[in-house]
Amino acid sequence: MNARRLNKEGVRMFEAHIEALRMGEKLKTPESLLTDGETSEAIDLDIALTDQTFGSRYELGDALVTAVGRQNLQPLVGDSGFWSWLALYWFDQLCPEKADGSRKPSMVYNYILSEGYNHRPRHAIFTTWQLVATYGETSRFLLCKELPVRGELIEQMMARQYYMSCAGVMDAAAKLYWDPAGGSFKSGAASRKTAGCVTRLVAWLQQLELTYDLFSLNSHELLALMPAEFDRFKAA
Amino acid sequence: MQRTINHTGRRKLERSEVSVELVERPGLPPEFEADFTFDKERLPEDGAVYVEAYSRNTLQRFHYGTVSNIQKPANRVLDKIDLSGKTLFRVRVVDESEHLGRLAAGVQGLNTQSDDEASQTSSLIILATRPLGQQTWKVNIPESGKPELVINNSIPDALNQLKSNPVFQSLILPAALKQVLMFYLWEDEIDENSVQAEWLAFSVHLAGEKPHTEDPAELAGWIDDVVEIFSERFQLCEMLNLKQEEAAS
Repeated sequence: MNARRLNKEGVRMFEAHIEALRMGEKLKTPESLLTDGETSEAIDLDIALTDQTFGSRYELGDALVTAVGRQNLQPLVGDSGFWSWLALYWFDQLCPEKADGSRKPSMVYNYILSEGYNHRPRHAIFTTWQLVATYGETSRFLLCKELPVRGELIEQMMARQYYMSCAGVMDAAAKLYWDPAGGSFKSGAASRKTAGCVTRLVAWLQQLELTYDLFSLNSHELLALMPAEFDRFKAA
Repeated sequence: MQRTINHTGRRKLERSEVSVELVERPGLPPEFEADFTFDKERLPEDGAVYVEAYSRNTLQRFHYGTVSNIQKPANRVLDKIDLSGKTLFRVRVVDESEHLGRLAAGVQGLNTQSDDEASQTSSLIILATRPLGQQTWKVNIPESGKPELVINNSIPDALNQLKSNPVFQSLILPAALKQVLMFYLWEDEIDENSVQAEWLAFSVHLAGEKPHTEDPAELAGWIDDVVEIFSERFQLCEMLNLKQEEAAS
């Protein structure tokens, strides 16, 4: 199917659907919103999506980046209708049906791209695309879990949105926390209290950026500056 | 007592040391121009100057040479950031004389000149241009700060048209005004010193006291009065007709 965008009515109906699910109603995903001319409209780009099941958010992001190819997505970057359409298209994977027919969607802004600065990075598809499009394989450590799971690592890293623009920071975090053999992040990385965990990394970066130009530091320089508490992840 | 330690001596740039202007290009992403009037004695002369344009969680960075030798980059097109919201700028001066770049000075949250002018003249609304697809204009009400009247940037010379062309003014301003008032003045409780309070004062100045009522029809009627008096004050219909006559002759 070619990607489209939800219009205002489409977004409203998708949002109402999510709210109804959150209230406990058992409903089928309103797939007709995706193609109905009353609720959606074509976009100027040709983004052909295939019916695929993804094992992780990274796989989804990779498929989307591939589908976009070399086309310029900038005009759609802030388009809530476009990103919400994509979330609806993959909604059954983002919010799978349980055995009893119910679903437990998270907050609406995970599916409907928010205008709000704080909630926008929480959109399941937008942020996934942004990370994979910018950092490719390096972003796998943030997106390695199955689709319904957002995860603590991304939660912490995205809390300071500037870091997402700092290639050295993203690369250093990947080198610290990604376990390529296990196909997941290292044990303890997502902790909130242990030495060297992602929460500590963010706290340390906040100190560092008062002194250094974080944007220009590469991962080797950052890793060399890190205090000893991060050694356990460097060595692991 | 809370103290801030600034052991590297980094300096906060004054906003007056930097000016940024957006250059709209119909149908294309905008460019920007940045000018600097640094107090050079307080900055490393070889310090590298970087300008970062950012909007929501997207960012684009441009290298502007050094403090003593500003060199504007050939490409200043904002083609990597989210243009659906307001674009702000930050400037960093980085001392790169050692192995790692240290921040020597910086300032962030810089508005473009047109936004600054709008807010400096205590305007109640900020005028801006952005891509809007086939929509010609819209009103944005942010969580904080002044509302924005956004004109589609594919319209040639959009901002000047709105400032000086009676056709644009007469067809856009009354409807935009009504949207803002319906948003801000529908509530009964309005905080002092808030944007809502400024709009209320403006409306009261035009149409007299806001009715103390919960009747939506009465409130909507008062807002209609404000819009009507505003249109009368600026002779919007007559200006439109004159413009049409000019165009026909």
